[in-house]
Amino acid sequence: MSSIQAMAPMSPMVSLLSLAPGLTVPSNSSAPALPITAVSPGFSAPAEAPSSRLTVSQPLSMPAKTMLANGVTAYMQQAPLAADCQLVVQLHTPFNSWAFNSMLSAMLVQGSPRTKALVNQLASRGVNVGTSSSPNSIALHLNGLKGQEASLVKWAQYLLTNPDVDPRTFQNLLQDTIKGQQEDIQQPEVQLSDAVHSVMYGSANPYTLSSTQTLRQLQQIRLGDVMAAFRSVLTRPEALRLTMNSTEPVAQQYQLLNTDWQYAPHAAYRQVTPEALPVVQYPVLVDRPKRVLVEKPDVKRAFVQKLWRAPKLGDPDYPAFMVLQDILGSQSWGFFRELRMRRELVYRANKNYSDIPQAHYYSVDFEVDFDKVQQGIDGLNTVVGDAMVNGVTPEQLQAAKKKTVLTMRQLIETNGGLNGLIDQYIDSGLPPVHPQQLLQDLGNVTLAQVQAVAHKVFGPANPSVLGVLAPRSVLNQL
Amino acid sequence: MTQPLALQPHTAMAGPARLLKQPVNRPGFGYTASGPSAAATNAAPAYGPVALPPPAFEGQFASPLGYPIRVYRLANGHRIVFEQRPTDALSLRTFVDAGSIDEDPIQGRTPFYGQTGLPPGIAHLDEHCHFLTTRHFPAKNQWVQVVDHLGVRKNASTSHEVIQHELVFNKEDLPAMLNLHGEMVLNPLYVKDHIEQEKSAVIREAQERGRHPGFQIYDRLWTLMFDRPGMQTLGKVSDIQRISPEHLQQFHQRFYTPDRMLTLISGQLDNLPATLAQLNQIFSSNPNTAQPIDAYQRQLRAVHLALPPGQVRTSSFVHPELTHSIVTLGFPAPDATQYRDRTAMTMLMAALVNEPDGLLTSTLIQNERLAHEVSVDYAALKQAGLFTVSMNTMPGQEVQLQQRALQLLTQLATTPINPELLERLKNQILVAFHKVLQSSEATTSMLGEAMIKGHGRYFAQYAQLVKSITPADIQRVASQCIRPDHYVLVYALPPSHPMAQQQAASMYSPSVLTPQGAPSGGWVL
Repeated sequence: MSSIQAMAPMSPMVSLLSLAPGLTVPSNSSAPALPITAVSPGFSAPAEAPSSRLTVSQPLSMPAKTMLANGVTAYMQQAPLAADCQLVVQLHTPFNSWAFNSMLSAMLVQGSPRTKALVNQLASRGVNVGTSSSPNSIALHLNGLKGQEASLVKWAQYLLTNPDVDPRTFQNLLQDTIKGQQEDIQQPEVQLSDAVHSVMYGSANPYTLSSTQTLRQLQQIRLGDVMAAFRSVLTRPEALRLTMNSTEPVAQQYQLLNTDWQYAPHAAYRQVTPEALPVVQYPVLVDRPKRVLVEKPDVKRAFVQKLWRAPKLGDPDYPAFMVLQDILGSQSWGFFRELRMRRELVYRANKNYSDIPQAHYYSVDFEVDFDKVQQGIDGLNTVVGDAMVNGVTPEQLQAAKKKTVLTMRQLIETNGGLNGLIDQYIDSGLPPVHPQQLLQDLGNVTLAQVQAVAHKVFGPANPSVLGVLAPRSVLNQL
Repeated sequence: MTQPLALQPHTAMAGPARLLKQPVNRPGFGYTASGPSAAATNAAPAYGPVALPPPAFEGQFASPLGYPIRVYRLANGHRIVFEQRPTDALSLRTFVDAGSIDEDPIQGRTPFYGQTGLPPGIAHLDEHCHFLTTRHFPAKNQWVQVVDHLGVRKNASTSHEVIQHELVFNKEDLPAMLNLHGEMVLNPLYVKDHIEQEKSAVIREAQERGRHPGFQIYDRLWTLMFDRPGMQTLGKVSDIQRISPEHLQQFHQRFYTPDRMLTLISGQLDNLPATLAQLNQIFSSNPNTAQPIDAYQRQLRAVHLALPPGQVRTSSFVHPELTHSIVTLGFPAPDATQYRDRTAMTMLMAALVNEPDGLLTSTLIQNERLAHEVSVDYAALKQAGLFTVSMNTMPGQEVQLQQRALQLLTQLATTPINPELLERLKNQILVAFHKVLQSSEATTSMLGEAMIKGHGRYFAQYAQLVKSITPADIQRVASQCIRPDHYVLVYALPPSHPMAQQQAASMYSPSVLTPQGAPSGGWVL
């Protein structure tokens, strides 16, 4: 078990100007120095990228980290050509429950008719408000039109400091959420996925709880628990962070936040950021490939899923795995080609990758006729076996890199997209990076590294679980 | 009218803009292939230079985000549209004014049955075939391999009235991608063995989609409301299996004609004249020529309302994955040509499900707890429209919910919407419109579909239309559309439902459904 990497210590005003095109210092010499630091210190300028194809031409600033005068940690980045702005406020919670935090965060914006009306009013003015949660955090997301940064700051604080929960609204939302969960549990894909994750992670990892466990947690939530949680989390926040993405320069973002953001951690928790808190590492329960069979008599086709432990964000072989994943997911080379084009077994093969530290895995699943389950499994093994034995070709490697550039270019069309990229890194305990840095890391991936990571992930020493859901008569044939 | 079409072999194409064979590794493709696909890649087409009439500039307008949109028409009628915006990821789509509406209907409920000579499901299967083999990439999946080498995202879709082919790629690959896109759109090869394999994929697609209750509800709604079922686009297994290469070629020649096609690119276009010239070369080579259609054919090429006035039709089914019931109401709605009414429909829907004071959500979910989820949808087609309200409820509450919902919906015709609420809804809709257009992919999809249907003006004027809607507009469309004696109703029930083991449909006969004056002639599917 290891704790995640701590953030680099913050320094006062640093000479970042060469790395951060959007960062300017006010001309007024009496202006306070801005305690902003780069968060990708090892990154060289975009012009030094190894290939002109592996670039993004949008003038994005470096992501910057600062601490406001009131002790709040903030990350900022500028995408001047976008048409929106985004602010995310994340608060740490001690509850270790996705179900509970999901209700908690939903209550922030749907807790009463009055709150709903406010959120509705904001939407009509261009500010959309949403929430997200993890077992150990809740977050408020506000997305506005270009120039609405001050509104985002104002209304985020209002919602956090004026929680308004109406018992009837709470009960309605809880019951409706429970009904939705009950519905999900009926789906064969969900049942199989629950079984596979349960074998891999057991029932102690809050990030991989089964739908049934989540339902049970939902059914135990009481209004009093939520109100108590609001009192502890909102009125005495232990750790919170801001991430802002805007068309405005980072320096202006800093000035806005430093002036207008008043909601701060309780004095006892100053300078504690959510990402700096230790993250519990949950072990996997298998040390070699395992299999789980799930009987379901009323399905018309079988469902197959295989899940492997995979590198997570920040691991040295993460870029190589990104390349491998893209190649295996392409129409020409991976599961699609083998299972649909060559063997004619499936319509689609779904791939899923989770890079969160608490449950980092790669999975593939598909539907198949009862009499072709074994052929499907064989096809799946053929693909991963080929990746281990033969690796990938230079053309495949180059294509995967180009596609990643494309993905990045689409992501940064909006400040909302860019914000998601930053949060992904911070949530993993890593400093956020400039998209160009990601492309540079990717550009350095070699054929040998891709083959090596294929061995690591798909080899017999790595934990994996194969699951099949079908009627008993079909399972008996396997 | 059955119109046998003579098949025109590609080798016999004539015209001023033939594809020109070029030496290997032409700069136009920007790609050097190796491995098994190299030979064919190197045989791929590059277009021009052939003297062609210059494209005619048809006009320019600004997108809602302020990006310039320019429209051109080639001499053969093919339209080209550019949206210049600062993104290096380009979205390129070609739209075809065709779809499953151009096939024989699955069910023989219309006078057009059997008159097209094209089996149901052919438009969708043809869309798949464009990825299989093309004239210059004749090995199976060779074209796909080439574009995969360029790190491209590709997609295509077929609906009742529109087919579209999309590529998203890095701007450095623009010249190569234009050629590859043109090759895929214009030059599919219909090889029997490949098609047989793709039929299996299409059938599996239908099986996967058809499993979900939402698809089954949609299909039944359409079957009750229109002269085509919702699953017309996918086709039935027996129909798909009888599609031949000749059918497919006939479909392509009849509908992939310049007058029915539009190509749209959004992104940072560094050399627009060169791009336009290249597109001119590519799409001027289209060997298919426009075929005049008469009024009868024009009438045929649209989804039509099949629900007679004063009639209510119902359907119910049991789905093994449901734990609750889904009640869905469908009403005839304004067609795509009625811009003001379409816009008012959008307002009406927002007024129904808006949080926290939407008429349906506040009443049915918050106050009366008859439903735990409510959603609304509106499809505007060429000559018809469908407005749907779908509600999730606990077993046993279905009839009560349906009656209450109908009561609330009909209030919209008699009670004007609060002007303050209307202004708020307008702003929300405009903000949402503005935000979705921040994506170049979303923009090409929305703009292209509007233009190929002849409604580019609706897209361009949407913001002004939204601002101009009055409470009276909403009352008008509500009174025209939501009528207690003219709608369709589908119940999806869980296996645990008390009536599931019986003839569930009999429980929901039309006389039960309509509170007063149950119309005769309603029928149960």
